[in-house]
Order: sequence, then C-alpha cells, then structure tokens
Amino acid sequence: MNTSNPSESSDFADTTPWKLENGLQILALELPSVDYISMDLVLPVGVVSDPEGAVGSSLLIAELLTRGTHSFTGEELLTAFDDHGIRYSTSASLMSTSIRLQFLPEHFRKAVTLLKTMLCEPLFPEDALDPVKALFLHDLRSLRENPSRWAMNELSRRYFPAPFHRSSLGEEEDIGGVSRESLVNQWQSRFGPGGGVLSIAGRLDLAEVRGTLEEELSSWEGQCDPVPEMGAFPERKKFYLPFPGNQQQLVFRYPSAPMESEHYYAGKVLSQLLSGGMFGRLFIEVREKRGLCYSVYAQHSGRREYGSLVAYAGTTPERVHETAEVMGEILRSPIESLGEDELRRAKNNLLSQIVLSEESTSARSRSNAVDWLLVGRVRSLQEVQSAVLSVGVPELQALLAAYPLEDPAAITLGAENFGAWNTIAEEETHS
Amino acid sequence: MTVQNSQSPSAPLMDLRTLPSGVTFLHDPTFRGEGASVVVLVRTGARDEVSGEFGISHFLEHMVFKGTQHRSALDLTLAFGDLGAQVNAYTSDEQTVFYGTVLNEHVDALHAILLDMMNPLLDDEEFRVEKKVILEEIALYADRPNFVLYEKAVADFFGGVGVGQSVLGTSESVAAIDREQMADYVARRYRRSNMVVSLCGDLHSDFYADLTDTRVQDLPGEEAAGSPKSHSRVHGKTEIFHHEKNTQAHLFGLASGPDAKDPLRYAAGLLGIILGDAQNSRLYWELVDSGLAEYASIDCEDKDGVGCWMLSIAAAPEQWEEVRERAFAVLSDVQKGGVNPTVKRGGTVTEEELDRAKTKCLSRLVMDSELPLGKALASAVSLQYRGVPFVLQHEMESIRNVTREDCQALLERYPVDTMNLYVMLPR
Repeated sequence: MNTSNPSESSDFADTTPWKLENGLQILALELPSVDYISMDLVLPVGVVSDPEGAVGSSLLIAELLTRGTHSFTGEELLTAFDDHGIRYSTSASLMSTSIRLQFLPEHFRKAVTLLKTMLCEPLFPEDALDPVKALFLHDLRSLRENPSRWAMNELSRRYFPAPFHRSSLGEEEDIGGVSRESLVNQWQSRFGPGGGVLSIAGRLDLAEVRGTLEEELSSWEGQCDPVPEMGAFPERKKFYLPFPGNQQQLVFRYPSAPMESEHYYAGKVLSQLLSGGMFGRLFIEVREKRGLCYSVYAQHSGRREYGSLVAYAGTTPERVHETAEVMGEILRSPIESLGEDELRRAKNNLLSQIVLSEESTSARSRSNAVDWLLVGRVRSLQEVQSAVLSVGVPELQALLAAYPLEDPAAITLGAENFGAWNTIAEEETHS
Repeated sequence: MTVQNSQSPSAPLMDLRTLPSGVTFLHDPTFRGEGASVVVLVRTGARDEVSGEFGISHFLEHMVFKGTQHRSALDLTLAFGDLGAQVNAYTSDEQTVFYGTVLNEHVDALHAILLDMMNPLLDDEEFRVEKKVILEEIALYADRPNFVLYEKAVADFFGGVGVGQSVLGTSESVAAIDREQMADYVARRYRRSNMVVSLCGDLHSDFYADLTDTRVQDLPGEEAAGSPKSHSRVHGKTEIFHHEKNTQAHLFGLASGPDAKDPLRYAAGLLGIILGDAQNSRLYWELVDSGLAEYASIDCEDKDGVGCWMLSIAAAPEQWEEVRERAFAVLSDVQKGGVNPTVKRGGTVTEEELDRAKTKCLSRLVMDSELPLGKALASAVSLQYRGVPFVLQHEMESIRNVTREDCQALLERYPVDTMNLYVMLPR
C-alpha cells in the first residue's frame, strides 16, 4: 500500500539545451527537490584518437588538468575545491575525456570559476609530468592483479580494428615517452568546447546557470578532434593466454546493434534475457543449476560507431570446458522456446533499471551528456519506454538475423587451453 | 520513537519501533521519488561463527536466495524479475544484509519476499550446487593479491577470532559445512530479535510496521546470543608476504581506533580526510602527487566494541621501503605535532585543515544520501551499532561539533604512528 503524494520526478525531456557561442553544448536539468548539483563536462576525445606514438596522452591530460593552472598551483586548486566542498574528478577513456564536479547549490559560481581555470589556462607543469606518468604505469602494472579485467583488455585489442583496438590504459612506452610540449599542443588542438557537452542537473536557477556559463566559459576556444573512422573488423578468432590463476577467465565477444540501429533496443532486451537480474538464462543455467561459476553475465553495449555483446564467466580450470559448452549452447539459440512471461520480465526489469538509476542526480547528468553525444539529443523516458515495450519475438529474430550470435571472438586466460585456441605469447600481451 | 524534524516538527525524519514480534522496524519517510528500498539486516556474520562453521554466514546468505518454505529458488528468481527489483545481499564480519529497490507500487511484494527468505528451505540439492558457487567465489578472490593481504592482516591483527575472521572462509572449511550445521546456525542467529527491517520511500509507516510483524511470525522469537568480544593487537611490527600474482607492492597498516559507539569516531572521520583522503590529503601530497604510489589512504573502521585505523597503499615493488618510510614520517609528524590552532610545529593539524575536512565531509554526506537504498542501509547499520538510526541532520550536527580537542584526544588515545604493517610483494 502506498501513499499518493505526487512525486517531484521529472522526465528526461525536461532538459533545457542551448549552445554557447564557442560551440559548447549545454544541457540543464532543474530538479528542485534535490539538495546538490552535478555537472559533467564530456569531450568526445579519448585514447582512440591519441596520436600514434603517444597513446595514453588523453589519460595524462585529464590528470594534469588538476595539477595546476596559470592562476592556481595544483595545491591551491584542490584546496579551493575542498574549501567549498566541491567533489571533483577528471578521467579519460577510449572515446571521451570528462570532468565531473558535484557541489551544494550555493557553490555553483565557484565551481564554474574553477572549471574555467582548468579549461582556459591549464599549466601542465613540467615537474608534475613524471609523477603523473608513474600513476598510469602503476595502473598498467596492476592489470594482472585483476584477471577478468586483463582478459577483457586482451580480447578488445584483438577484436576491434585500429585504432579502436587500443587499450583504455594507454601504451607503456608511449606514456613514458610523451613530452609536456606534445601534451600542451594536443590540449590546444584536439580538445575544445566545439563538439563537447556540459550537462548540469540538480537544484538550479536556470537564469543564473545560463548567465554564469556564458560569462565564464565563452572565452574557452577550440574544437574537439573528430572520432576516427571505423575500419573493417579483423577476422574473429579465439585466443588462449596462459596464466597460473586459481580461476580461468572466459570472454566471448559478438558484433551487435549500434546505438542508432533499429535493432538497438532488441539488443538491450536480449542482454536482459541472457543475464538480467537473477533470472537471465546464463545465470540460471550456468550458475544456479550447475554451480559452474560465481560471476557470469552478458552485456550489450551500443555506441554510435559499433555495438557488441560480451559474455563473461570466471571458473576453475577443471570446469572451464563445461562452462564454455553450456554458455555456447545458450548463446547459439538465445530465444529458443521464449515464453511471454520471460520476455515481459526482461522488458520490465530493463525499464525498472532505467527509471531507478535516473533517480540519482549524478547518473542523470551523465546520461544526458552521453545521450547528446551519441544521438544528438536527450531521449525522453516515454521514447525509451515505448521502444523497449515494442520489442517482441519478431524484433529479437530480426536482431539475431542481422547480428547472429555465431563465431565469436573469444579469449580464455588461465591454466587450461581446453579448445586448442591460438596461444598468445607473453611478449604479445599488454602488461 | 519518532525522530522529529526540528525545522518542521510535523514532518518526522524517521520512524523507529520495536515491534511486538521483537523485530526492530525503521522507516525513513523523507524520500520522495518513484523508487523505494527495503533492507533486512540480520545481526550475524563471520564474527559469530564457531569452529567448524567458518564461512557459513556468507554461504547462508547465498542459500537464502535458494528457496523458502513457500517459494522455490526459481520462484524467487522469477518473482524478483517480475517486480523489476534490483536485489542483492552482502555478508560482513558482523552482519548479513539483504536489500532491494523497486518502483513504489511493488514495495509490498518485495517486502513479503525478503521476509519470507528469512526462513530458508536449505534444500539438499540446492545446497550441493551452491557450495560449488561459493568455492568459485573463494577461487576468484584468491587471484586478487590485495584481498589476500587484507584477510591475512585482519586475521593477525584481531587474533584470528571474532572480528577479523574470514567472511568467505577457506575452500576446506566451506567444503566441510553440511546442511544440518547450517540449519542449526539459522535457528541460532536468524531470530526476530536479531533483525532490523528498514524501509525508505513514500510509504505508510503504520501499514508496513504491522505487515512486518505479521510476516515474521514464523521465525524463532528467542533472544540471539551476543557476539563474542574482539581485541586488536598492535605490535608495531612489519610482516611481509609474497604472492605469485603480485605485480605491485601492497602495504596495509592496522592500528587501534574508536569503536562504533565512541563519539571520537567523528573526529576519526575528519582526521582520516586530513591524513589520507584520495586527493589533497597529507598522504596524497607525499606519495600520490609525487607518483610514488598509485593510491595511499588511511581511514577508520568502527565496529561493535572495537575499531581500527586502516592504512592502504599500492606502489612499485622496488620502492616499497621508501614508500613505507615516507608514509610513516607523515603519520609520525602529525602524531608529534598534534592538533593546534596557533602553534604550528612539524605536522601539526591546523584549525583551517579541520574546517576544510568538515566542509568536505558534510558535502559528501548530502550527496551520498540521495537515494533510498543508501538511506535505508545507513539507518539499519547505524541502528545495529549505535542503537539510533542514521538521520542526516543529526550526523551533520555531530560533524560540525567536532573540536580540535576531540582530535587531540583521538590521537592520544589512538595513535596513528604505531601500526602493524602487512606487505604483499611479488614472489
């Protein structure tokens, strides 16, 4: 039984979009009942477009943005954030570079001022370069301490065409060799407001937001590098990487529907059928009925350039063969004898996930930015709901006709080369 | 008991009741959204396991999802799916917690299922299959050197009994557990007086309090035994381990700290931010900004009757000794310099740093208290440890009230410069 107080939630479409003269797309979402503001700047420039021989530059640039500007030393900058309780983070991935600031509404102007100094006058101090490089070399070194992450990384390097095959951790030699001058030049030539998105959500005063952003960020100039063209995918193969782990990692990767494909939402529903909640077929067949592993899942990801379905399991070496066979059987005919209940459950679970995750202001801000970059607008909840609800058996069949789950690229990392897959030599590994 | 809102006395911040059944019921009505969360906390964990049971609390947490007197494992799985419920559970050394979030219209159904699960069936075949899953989970973590180090360190620091007992257990201890032992453990620990049911959402308190009472009637009502006492053992020693999967050096330090009821825990939270926050802390500037360490943190973990400072650092193996020297120089400087408003000597913590830590801490509290699950969990855990639910406004007040004298008292009682240090290096 529930009370009927009206909820203050608002739809995704309540976002107000406008563009600054310098090309920066602003997305503002007023949520009056929320006590803070979350702000995400996302530039669609990442490791995938780093110059040859300097792969990992985006990672260094993102970190160096907090290490000092022409007006603030690194310590002054971080202290200014802390004095106002502004939570900050910078990061770069394969496809983007981001700055996230979260703060109480009274610190909005200060947050924008500090963002401006990072964007308009970053110093990239010479004496910070080696320590920042060391941080990312630590990260590369630690890859082997997380075998599932390592296996995913090694498979991506062999699944995607160049330069999308790059590791999001960068290349050790390139990180070691890149100069400050190169990073300064890259910041000026590859990163800019044009093509980027600043998404802000929370307890906002729209007029103040508009005025402050125009006043503070209009002087930032430049254009984001275009995303490289995606070439032809290499032939999909299966690989074995020897590793004396207690567990053996198993990853399959299949092409699937990209973001703007008519099959995109069928891809999302399919991954729910395979591993949504605790009812997905992989979870029930591999873990619940047979106890073959602790972690097993499938995940569909769709970007503008490509889509894929990744299926993962970690198990002990003596059971990896059986695990691979059971997974293969399910993945080969993922909608065989699909009942109405099963399909309805998958769609309900997906919709519930979307609505519940959007109750987080920070998740809302980030997803608005990502939506804009991928589809050029913020999708409304109604649009997403009706697209998910419209997926039926014919739509799933059409997805599987366009993207059959056959001949995946695969990797197994562990003690057993159970399928006589192509062995990766130690010197061909990434860490 | 109703915790009143001082700004608006007619709007309660929290409803807390001990129900006639003995279950403690909590409802935070302040969240206004489309979702609502239900948490069932059982006051039992690795700390409550006796010889021959190591790993049983966590194994049972899995078995709770494998069928009840009224629902099979598959029924449970499909029911959660039908509700679109985001459900999970965890086991620690002191608690086993089951929780879920659903859209408002499904709260009643989620609440019914989670309480039904407190009386698990423990089906023989499900028991046999799930044991394999647990053994896989143990194998997974055995490949993570920092996790292996953590387990070794806390076991040694707390003497291997009570707090510090492995939550997962070992593959041998789990393999040896049988169904009868688990049924005995359920009867001993899954009692009404040992449970907290915490809700957060736009719901009627009275309705759910009554429903909770009705839905736990089949559970045993007798008092559960208290958890055994734990003690920490600080020697200031360094112990080195090797792991064949290590590529980094992991340093893990432990020293005594305030327990969950000690008011000094607020000062400990703030001193932890000053000394070892992820950015802009003393350890950050000494070790991370300089590139010596990938991360370096110190914070305080408070438990029932015992607490500890936890220092955690990852660095290049060839530099671990330099990292250790520099980390302890920072901690020793602060210990010697103390907390002083005017006289700055060595590593003295200043009033300005304390104010900054408060600002940081207060902002984070507001941002992290947004979602119903976080609120319902925090309330249940706070109630378990301190007898009072988590109320954001009260927590903020306690943080604002921390003085430099509190911080000085904390350092004198729980020094940060003498620790047991555990190091994991590549073989």
